[in-house]
Amino acid sequence: MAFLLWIVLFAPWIGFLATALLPRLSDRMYQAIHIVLQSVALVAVGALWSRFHPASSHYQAVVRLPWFSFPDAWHGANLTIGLNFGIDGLSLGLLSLAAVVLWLIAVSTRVPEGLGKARAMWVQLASFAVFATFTALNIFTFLLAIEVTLFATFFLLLRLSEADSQRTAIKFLLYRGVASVFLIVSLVGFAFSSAATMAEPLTLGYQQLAARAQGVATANAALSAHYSAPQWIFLLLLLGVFIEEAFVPLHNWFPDAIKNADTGTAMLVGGVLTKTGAYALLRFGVGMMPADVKIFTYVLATVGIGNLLYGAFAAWSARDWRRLISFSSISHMGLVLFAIGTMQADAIQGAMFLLVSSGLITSLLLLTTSRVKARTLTLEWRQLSGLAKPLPILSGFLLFGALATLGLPLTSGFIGEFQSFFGGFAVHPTFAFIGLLGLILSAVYSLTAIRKTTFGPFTDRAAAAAYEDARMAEWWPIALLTMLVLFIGIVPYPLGHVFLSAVHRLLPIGG
Amino acid sequence: MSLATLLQAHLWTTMGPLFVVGMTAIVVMVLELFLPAASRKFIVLLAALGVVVAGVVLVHTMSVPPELSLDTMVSDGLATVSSMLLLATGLLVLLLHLDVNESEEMPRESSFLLLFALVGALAMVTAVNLVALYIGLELLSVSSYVLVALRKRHRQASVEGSMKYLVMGGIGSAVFLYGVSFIYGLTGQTSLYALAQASLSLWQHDAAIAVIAFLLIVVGLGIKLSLVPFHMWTPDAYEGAPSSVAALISTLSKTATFALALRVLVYIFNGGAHDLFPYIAVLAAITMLAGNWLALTQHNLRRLLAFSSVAQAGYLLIPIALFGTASVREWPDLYDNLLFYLAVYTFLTIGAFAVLHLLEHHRDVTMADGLTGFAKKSPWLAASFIVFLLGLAGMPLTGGFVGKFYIFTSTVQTGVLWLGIVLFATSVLSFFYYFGLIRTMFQSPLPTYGDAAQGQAEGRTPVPVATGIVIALCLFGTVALGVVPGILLHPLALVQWF
Repeated sequence: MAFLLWIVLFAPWIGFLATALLPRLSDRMYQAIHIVLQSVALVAVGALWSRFHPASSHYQAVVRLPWFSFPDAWHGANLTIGLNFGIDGLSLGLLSLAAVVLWLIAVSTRVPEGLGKARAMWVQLASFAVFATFTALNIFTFLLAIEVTLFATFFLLLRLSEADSQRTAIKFLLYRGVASVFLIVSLVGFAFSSAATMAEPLTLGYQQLAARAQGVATANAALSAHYSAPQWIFLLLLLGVFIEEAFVPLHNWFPDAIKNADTGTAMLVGGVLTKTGAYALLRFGVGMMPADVKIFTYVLATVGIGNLLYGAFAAWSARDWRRLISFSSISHMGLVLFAIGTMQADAIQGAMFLLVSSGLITSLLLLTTSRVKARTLTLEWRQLSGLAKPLPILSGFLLFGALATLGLPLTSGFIGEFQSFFGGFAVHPTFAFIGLLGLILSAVYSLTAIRKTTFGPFTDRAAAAAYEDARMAEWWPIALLTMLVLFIGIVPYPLGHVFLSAVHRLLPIGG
Repeated sequence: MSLATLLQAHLWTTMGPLFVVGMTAIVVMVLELFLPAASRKFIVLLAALGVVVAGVVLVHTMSVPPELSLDTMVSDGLATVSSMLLLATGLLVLLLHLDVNESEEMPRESSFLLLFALVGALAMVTAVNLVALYIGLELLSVSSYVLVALRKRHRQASVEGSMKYLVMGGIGSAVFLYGVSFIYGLTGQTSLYALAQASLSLWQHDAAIAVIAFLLIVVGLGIKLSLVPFHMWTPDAYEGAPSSVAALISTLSKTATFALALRVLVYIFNGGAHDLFPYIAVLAAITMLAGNWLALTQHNLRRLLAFSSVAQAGYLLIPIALFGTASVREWPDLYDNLLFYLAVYTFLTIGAFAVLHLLEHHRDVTMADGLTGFAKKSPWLAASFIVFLLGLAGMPLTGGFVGKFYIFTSTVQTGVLWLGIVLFATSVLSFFYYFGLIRTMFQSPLPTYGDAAQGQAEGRTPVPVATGIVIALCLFGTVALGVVPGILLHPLALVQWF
């Protein structure tokens, strides 16, 4: 099974190297390499599903690559640094999301003229780094992967953005760079502090660190007490997560990136990269610093619900689709944060569902709107109206995306929202009640957007008549995403099963 | 001392490389008088050969346990490892000089002055006597002052930089000497080993004067290391100097002076380290913040690299600052940190200056704007420049990341975490200008009309063989230390530092 994870990780890595080193192929060749290797990774992720045992309480498909060691790093002992990868339920869920979105980027988004090499190279590096982020088994690997996503995406934004590429790229780099500093300081501090408090060897491995936090006996000694991290370590982690998740008021980089980036990069940022923060909070916050999460539960609830509402209001006042998509994503992430803060098994499972669902829906909307924009040349509502007539297929998908955004039953969003609120009402009824307002608002903003664009009279009859609706080649990826969203909504059991195993790993006590 | 004593074996273990480089310097100096200007290349190659021989001697005479000769020179771990790094630096700089020498039409003195600077640097890392250390420091400094002024093509900037360097460097030496004189006055000793033993009583009986001496020494060395607020000479000297000399003063003198600072401060002041070294921590923090901050507004490439090297000096100062709280058992770790990052920094800086030299000489580029379209015109050269910049910014897969991470683990371990936070926070600040340069390389040049376009040489930048080798070696070093850092980390861990 480990070899499958090898394939997942190294297919994009090989693709990156091949693209970087092979000079002067045509754009089509670079894209062909990209598609082939990204498909290989996707198939391998699919195969991982068939081999995965949700019942097991260990990390599976473990790949270890010893790398180097810092001599005498801690009380005369070496600190061995290796690239270790493996999966549990949470990793598998998010890895699948990433694999699907990155595959769709490869097969279905347009490559700008003459930039085939740059795009194939950086997208594949980013995809290696994203896979590594979600499957890392130690802190070093995680931090390294986060840094690599940072500069790979920087280059994507710089080279491919449709507008204002310089400012967008630098802004992205600075915001997320600061976030990664917070993560580095907090996580390394956590490892050292747990080693010092427990008088045990220094380790960066998830398994050992989580074991200490949960009071499970480790290899060396039976622990009498739990280790709980100092509060400042958790607060630093939280700050890092807030920036990675683009929470207000640290969200400034995100709408810009979504608005200016090309469709592929926007899908990468909106569909995958904003999920890394929540992943870090689940893995490190819930899994390793549970006491702190409980202490700061009101902070999480306030910020979470605040973002849910702010995102919804901002999406309501948006004047174009891209902006609406970015703020609705922020709004969803607010709910995720609120759900995590409750430390309830139901809510946390809901949060995981929401992560996957939000990634899929964001990608769906970005892809659909990019097809619309290819025809209308704009996504501003002022200039769009009555698209349903000339573009029935695309309008249909747009409507579906909007309905999925508002969490209609039988779509993937519904389950996540339901579970999050279910857990939320048990702990913070007041916050949950206020949060419900956000759900209503989500219906308002998505339906308003639909009303303004697909319904109503044509603004420009002559142009509209010339629009040609999407052909099969254009709409099949959107249809695929639609089916995935529906599948998770109607048959949530497979994903839920996998996530539940992760919830039990993260919350062994009272979970 | 007769010639016979000179040849005694124990002197060669401590001073072998120094002898070899010194003698090469004298031979080169004499030869340069007689040989015609056309044989410049030969002279520089001869100098490089001398450095290689010195390296062979160093490896051949390496000794454990360390030997002390004449109560002045020592062959302990710090001396041996720093000497290796210095010789490697010297070799790279000389190779780069091969091309610079020709294109800048440098006067003949340049080669032997480079060698004398190297001799001074070697003395600074091998000596354990304050007098000998000072002589080494002066030899390095005086040679560098002259070297900065040798850029014929840009006489005005060159002389201006040299004068500033001379004045500030002179003040630095004087202040350092003043501080050292207090120590000598109190203890009557110049040997660092004797001072290390007297350190505790010095601190207990004469704390006030010891503090003054400490501050004077730190300020003096601070000027040499271009720590903020003593960095004012740095951008001008870098801007005026020939590229090879700029590479020299930013790597060779830094390595030597950091080794010297480590030795002097730790040996003399370990008695009061807990109270005194926090000042160094503050200095490091100010240097990191101000260095990166000032670099943000620079458009001239040389000045930008100058401020970036100021900031890097701040990172390098962290291990020394940590001696305040580290237990003796943790000391070797701090030595490892410093030397590892110095090695990485050396590769990165010399590589960057080599590319910069090609840019300046073949494309007339001095400002950051001039980099537009560089990625398209010379993709390989641009790619190497990007690797060096990524390394300086501390990105993974380059030695810069491992080095910074390594220093960071030490800050956590010794409980001075705030310094580690400043390290990473200011690194993010540095993204702005390093990535800014990368961004510019990918921009397409602005459309120009008429003659304006003539200034920029079109097409691929030619790369002379020697410079190509320097860039390749630096690239290799940078990437190797990032991908398999064990090749340096493990040997360093085995070193018996003191």
